[in-house]
Formats: sequence, structure tokens, C-alpha cells
Amino acid sequence: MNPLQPSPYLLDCQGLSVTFRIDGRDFKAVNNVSFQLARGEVLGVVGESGCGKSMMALAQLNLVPEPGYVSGGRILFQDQDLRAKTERQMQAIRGNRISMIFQEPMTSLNPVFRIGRQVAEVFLKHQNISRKEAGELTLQALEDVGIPAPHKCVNDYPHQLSGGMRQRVMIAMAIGCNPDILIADEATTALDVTIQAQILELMKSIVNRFDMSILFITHDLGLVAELCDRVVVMYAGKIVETATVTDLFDNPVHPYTDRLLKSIPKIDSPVDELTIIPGRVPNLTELARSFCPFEPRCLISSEVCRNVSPELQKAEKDHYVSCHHYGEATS
Amino acid sequence: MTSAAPILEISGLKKHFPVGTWRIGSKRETVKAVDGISFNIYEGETLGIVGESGCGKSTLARLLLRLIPVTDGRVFFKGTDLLAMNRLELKRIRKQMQIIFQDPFSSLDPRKRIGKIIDEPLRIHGVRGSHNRTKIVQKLMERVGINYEWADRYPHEFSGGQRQRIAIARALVLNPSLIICDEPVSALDVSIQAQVLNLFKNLQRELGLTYVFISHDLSVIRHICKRIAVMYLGKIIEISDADDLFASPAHPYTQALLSAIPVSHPKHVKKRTILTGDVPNPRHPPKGCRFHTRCPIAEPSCSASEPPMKNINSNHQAACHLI
Amino acid sequence: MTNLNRYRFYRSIKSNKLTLLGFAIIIILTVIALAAPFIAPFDPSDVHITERLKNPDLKYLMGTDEYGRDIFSRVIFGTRVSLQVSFLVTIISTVIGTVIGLWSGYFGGVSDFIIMRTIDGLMSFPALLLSLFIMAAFGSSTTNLILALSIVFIPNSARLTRNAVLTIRELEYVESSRACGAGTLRIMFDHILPNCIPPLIINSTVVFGYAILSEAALSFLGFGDSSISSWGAILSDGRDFIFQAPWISIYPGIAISIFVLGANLTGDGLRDILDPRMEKI
Repeated sequence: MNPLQPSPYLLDCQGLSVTFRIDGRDFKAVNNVSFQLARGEVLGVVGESGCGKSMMALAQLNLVPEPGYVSGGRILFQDQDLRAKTERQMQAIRGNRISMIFQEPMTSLNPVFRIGRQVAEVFLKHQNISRKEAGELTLQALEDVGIPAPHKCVNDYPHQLSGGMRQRVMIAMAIGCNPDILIADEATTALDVTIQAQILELMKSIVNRFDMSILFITHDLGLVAELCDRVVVMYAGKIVETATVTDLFDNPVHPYTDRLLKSIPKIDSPVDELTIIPGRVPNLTELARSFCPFEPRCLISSEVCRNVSPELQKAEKDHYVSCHHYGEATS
Repeated sequence: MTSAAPILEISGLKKHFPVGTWRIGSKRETVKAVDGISFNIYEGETLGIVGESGCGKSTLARLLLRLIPVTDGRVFFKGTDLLAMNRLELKRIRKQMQIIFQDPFSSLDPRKRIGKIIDEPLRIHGVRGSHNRTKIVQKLMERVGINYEWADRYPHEFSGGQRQRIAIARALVLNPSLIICDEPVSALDVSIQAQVLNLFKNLQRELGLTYVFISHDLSVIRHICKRIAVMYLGKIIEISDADDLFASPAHPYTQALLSAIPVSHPKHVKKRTILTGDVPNPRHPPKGCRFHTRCPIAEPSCSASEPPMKNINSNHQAACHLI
Repeated sequence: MTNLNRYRFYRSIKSNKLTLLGFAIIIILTVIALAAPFIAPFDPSDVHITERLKNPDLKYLMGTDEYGRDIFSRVIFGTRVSLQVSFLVTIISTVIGTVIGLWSGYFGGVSDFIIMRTIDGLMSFPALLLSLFIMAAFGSSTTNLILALSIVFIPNSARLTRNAVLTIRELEYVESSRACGAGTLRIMFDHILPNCIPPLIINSTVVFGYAILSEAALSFLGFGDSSISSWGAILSDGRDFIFQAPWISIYPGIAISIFVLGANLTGDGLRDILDPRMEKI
């Protein structure tokens, strides 16, 4: 890659690996993962539990919890490698240039401080402004995320708000400093369906209004269809398929993606029996390293799948897959 | 109306939980978790109960089995008054109605081997002969897809999907006619959900079970239920045949709920009714129609009185003043 | 236990050296107590008046007291008394406390209220004061000492059990049992109690250590039974000779410290073993 030519991407993650050291043995939660995020784009990262999507998100901001650590790869943000930055430099980036919101709004907010103070804290940390100015920015931020009566809300404690409200506060804190990237890790999973719809609309408006990129992590393919422009599918720590969202739904070429899409009950097209993926999702200690991680559950696997790890290759324009037999699954 | 006999008849069911501290003289506040529910469940059917958090569906599940005491109302199981039974009769009836919970991690005793967990109901009801019981347990384990050789393992050695299967085996061991499923697949991975849902359907076909299937996920409910009841703040606001409900939902809440579901393909564009505000506090439900505070078509008359259940057609009722 | 669980259990004990040490201490002390007549070179009440207040030497490993009694033998026989008191106090207080806690936690209501306020009352007394009061009222024999200390430590396990019951009672596997028709007794003893046991075991080791300390304190203050000599009594007797013959008090003091250390190490280690074992990686 030519270092003189700036990358067209806002975030360019290359060969990222996250390793966990347990009882003296190493387990790879994220295994050589690469993806790119452009400005104003919503990239979905979809996968089931244990696929490594959350670890991958945390790795972007160097927040991987012990005993895990980032063991390889580069994370280029605006052409600078985030892995080369000190903790101090990362603190200046978190909440300011790249923000993250999590699944549980209950535990993401400090229960003993008022909302106003917690939101203002973000502004005070990253901008050289007075408390009064931070207070005004807080009210504006709360209004931006659609909280009714922000003047009342700033004096409330987290337990006085509902789950949807708390998630909005989290979003307000995350986008307050107008970051380039928002990482949302299962941000709507814990919310009721009607509240989830509200938050989704909010996210869409944020992308439009602020030209913000979102790295949207979820297990729900429906949300991906709603919100995302491109999608990355992860399984057991590896990326198995990446494509535009329409391409993925119309033409899934990896056997996992294909069966996953077919195994979800759909409201508008009910079936009698759902397609299943036999077996179960491997947990961290079972991750194999030398061959395709999906092979044990794959119906079209062969000898080569057991012995050679498939790498990400181009299936079609802007559609990559890591499978030796891609395309053969879709019937 | 279906021609099958009702297996469960519920009328005016209420459950109010006292909350807050007890002060001498003043009346204690209550959370009206279930506040006047009446419906029937027919033999062999799968009735879905759908609603968001705080609507009372989990409380309803426990009331139907009399796992928690009822504040008011009647429950008849196959014609006999469930609430009037004494302990012995209740114990006998319990063989016929079972429950499966949402969380596969807390619904199995972590200190017991799974063989013993499935065996326990048999022992409670005095099924004699350990060899006899072992055979029953073995057959059930194979039926739900758990290898019998693993009967000596503990729950934490299994995955979420497998634990849910173990819970299903335990629910089936006494040959019940009715099984209440409280969000049984919500905590499972998507690919495992499909396995367990197929298992539910197959078991129903084989054993002629009646299900009450509770979930917040309408796609799952659609897949498995033929009749659906929608709950909001402790009341049923719409009950209908599944096809009819999805084709033409009558109640504005049901309409909003359906419109809130994410699309299943990126090319589908949905017209959304976004509800404003949050679910009201069940301690102080709104006066009149409980939904009027968030309803997009609410009128002044809606806050005056609670709407009764109106017949849309023979299989479809909804409680709204404006339909 | 399946083979896998047994393997994990031994591996976790082995890997935690301190816990092993704690276990070893308790086991060694128990062996000493049981084999006392065979280990002790002299009878503990044997008087050698010509050799009183002797320094520790090869004959009298820990020296002699003012009556010429071998301290080493006295300490060894004292192990019997101390262990006996500790074991009994721990067992009695834990059993009674657990039953009270089970009842209180499961049934709640008025009985829970009364029981808990009584327990609160008991706990508001300093342990030593309470046992002094009981012994002063009923006389100072070993039996009374054991009873007094047991009463003092009942609130410990009662509260612990009650808290565990309150949590477990709401868990779904208990509800499932009830849905199958299980009665109260079965649920209490089959489901709730086994899940209370890990914290109870850990608590017992703490009580074990505290019991011996309390007994030593009571003996030191002169409330112990004077006919048999526990470590606290030996320590107390050595008070008057602390400058001439410090070994009379030092050695029983060391014994008490080792004992409590063993109990605490075991407790700490058990906590690590019993809880995360249930964690999946």
C-alpha cells in the first residue's frame, strides 16, 4: 500500500486479531479480520454469540478487557494507526472522534450522578469550554436525540428514565462532540420493539444530519436490512462474507449466510419448517485454527475445507467471501 | 370459533402486586400487572401472547398455572375450577400443565445432573421403579436430541440451545396436555432458535400438545401460532387468528407494533407509525383506554372510559372505541 | 462427579498453594489432636516440681510452667480442647442458623420479621460481651462455653442462608419444580439448600477461626473451664510469668495463630474453588 496516497476510507482495519490467554493457552477471539468503513456509511457487523464481533469493536478503541489483548493487525483511522497510539492519545479520540454505545443502557450510566452532569462531562473533557457552555451544549445534544423536555431531563437520575430514554442519553453523549465514527454494539437489543424503531429512526437521522459513519454490530439481520449500507458477516472470529446489504440478502454465497437467512422466521413469508444449521456455535475454547471454522456444521464441506483455511476472496463486484465452495450452497 | 373444546377458560383475571412501604392508615400502592383478562384456549391450538416489557405476559403465564396467587378472576382447566382446588388436587392437575422459561441458564438447577433434573417430576409424582423412570427419561432425551450418555453431566456443560431442550424434556416427562412457553427462544442464537422452534412444532404434531406461546418477537409468533393475543399494560387489547391479525390489525397499538418490526429485506420500504413516549408506569395506568397517551388517533372520549372488546369478525376482537 | 469435574477440582486445589497450606494445617492439627496421647512425651498434668520454669530444651521442647508441667505436652493436649470447641461451635451454630435462615427466607412474612429483628438484636452485642453474659449467668463450664459461642455465631449463618434463599427462591428452576407439583419441603432441601452450601462452607471456616479466638479470649479472662486446659487457658496461666518464662504464653499463642491462619486460608481457597467452577470459559 502506498503510504503517500491517503486511504479513501475513514477506518481501515487490516488483519486484526484479538487473543485471549486463559490458563496459559491462547485462544483467538478475532482472527485476522479486515474491513473498511467509508465516510457517511453504515457498516453492519452481524454474527451470533461468540463470533467475535464485540471484541472486534472494542479493539478499535483499544478497550479489549483482560485477559484479552490485540495481538496483530493495523487499525488505520484517517491514515493513522490507532494501535501505535498511547493511552493518552486514545483518550482524546474516544468520545471525540470515535464513540461507542453499548447494549445495556442500565449499566452504562452512573446511577449516582444526574444526567446533565454525565452528558456535560463529555464536552468538558474534549473541548476547552466553561461549565455554562457545556450545559448549553448538553441541552442541545439532548434535544438532538429527541428527548422531550431536556430542561427536566438534565436534573433526573438514570433510574428515573426508561430504557429507551437512557439509550438516547447514551447516544447524546456519544455524538455530542460530532465524532466521525459511532460504534453501536447491540445498541437496541435490550429495547422493546417499538422503542427500537424509535432509536433506529434516530440513528438514520444522525447519519443524514451529521454525515456520521456507523459501525453497527448486531445479531439481528432485520436491523441490518433496515439501517446498513454494507454488511460484514462474522463466524467464530473470522469474516465469512462481506457485501452491500442488497447483495447479501439477494445473493448470499457463503453457506453460513445462506442458511442463516433461511433460518429466520419472516413475517411476510411464513414457512412450515425453518431451515436449520445443524450443530451449535463453537465457544472460544473450541475455535479451530487450521481449517474453516464453519466446516463442522457445513453441508457442502469437503476435504480441502478441513485442511486449508479459506481466505477472503472476491466473489463478485464488491462482494467478498471466504469459502472454498462459495456459491454452491444457494439452491 | 374453533370446534375443539376449551382446555383453559380464563375470566376477569387480575394480579395486583403491592409495592412500596407499608404505612399505617394509607392504602398500599399496587402494580396492576394483569388487570382483567378473559379468553379461552382450545385443545390442540397454539395461542401466541405478544407484548412488550411491562405488559404482564410473564405474570399471566404464572397465573395460568397458579404458580403465584391470583388477586381476582376465575381459571378453569378442562372444566374444573383451578383456583378452588386444594393442595392435593392441584398437585395432580400439575401433571397436565407445564411451563418452559426464557432463560436456559437459570431454569435448570446448576447442582443437579441433567438426568436427575428430568427425572425429578417423575419422582415427585411417585412413579415407581428407577429402571422404569430411566427408560422414560432416556426416551425423552433422545426425542429432544440430547444424547442419553450425557445424563450424568451438569447444566453448565451444555450450550443454551441444549439446555432449552433439556427444559423441554423435563416439561414433557409427565405427559402434559398444555405447555406454557414463556419466551423460550428469546435468549438463544438465531441459528439455534430455528432448531428449537422446529422441535416445538414437531412435538406438537406428535403429541397433540396445546401451547401458549409468549414472546415479544412477532416473527417467531407468526411462525408458530395460529391465534394471537396482543397485550398492553395488563390487558388484552386484540385477539385474532394469526393471518387476520397480520393482514388487517384493528387496534392502533397492534398496527404500531407491526410497523415497528424491522424489514426482512433491504428493498422493502416500510411506512412506519412511530409511537411517541414510553410505556406508562403500571402503577398508574392511564385513565380510560390505557393506550390513549401514545395513540396516534386518540380522541377525548378515549380517556373517559375503558373500551370493551368489540367483534371485528367471528375470530377477531379488539378493544378500541374507534373501530 | 464426572471425571472432568474431579479433574478440575484437583487441578484447582493444586494450583492454589495457599489453600493447600490451609488444608494441610487443619488436617495436621486434627491428627495431632487425635493422636495426642501418642505424641506427647509427658502427661500434661504431670508435675515435675524440681524442673519448674525451665527454658525450652531437648527434654522439654517448649519449656515448663510454674508447676513443672511440660508445655509441649500441654499444647498438644490443648489441641483437643480447642478443636473440639471450634468444631462443635461451628457445627451447632451453622446448623441452627441455616434452619432459621431457610425458614425465614422461604416463608417471609411476620415470622421472618420477628426472627430477623431478634437476630439483629443478637448481633448488636459484641460477641465477647454476649458470651460473657451467658457464662456469667449459667456458670463457666466447657459445655456452657460451647453453647454461648454457638448462640453468638448463629446470626452469621442465619443471615447468610436467608439471603441465599431470597435469591434462589425466585430463580426459575425453583418455579419449575413447583410447576411440577413439588412441595415446600422438597424444594427447600432438594433445591435451595444445596445451592446455599458453598457460601455456608466458606462462612464456616471463618466461624471456625473466630471460635477459637473467642474461646482463647474467654479462657484468658478466666471464664474458661479450669479443669481442662485449652490454649487460651495455658496462655492465660503464663500471664504472671511473662518476663521470667515467656514461652508459657508464646507457644500456645503461636498455636492459636497457626490454627486461625489455616482456617482462613482454607476459606479463601474454597471460595475460589467453589464459585468459578461453575463459570464457563
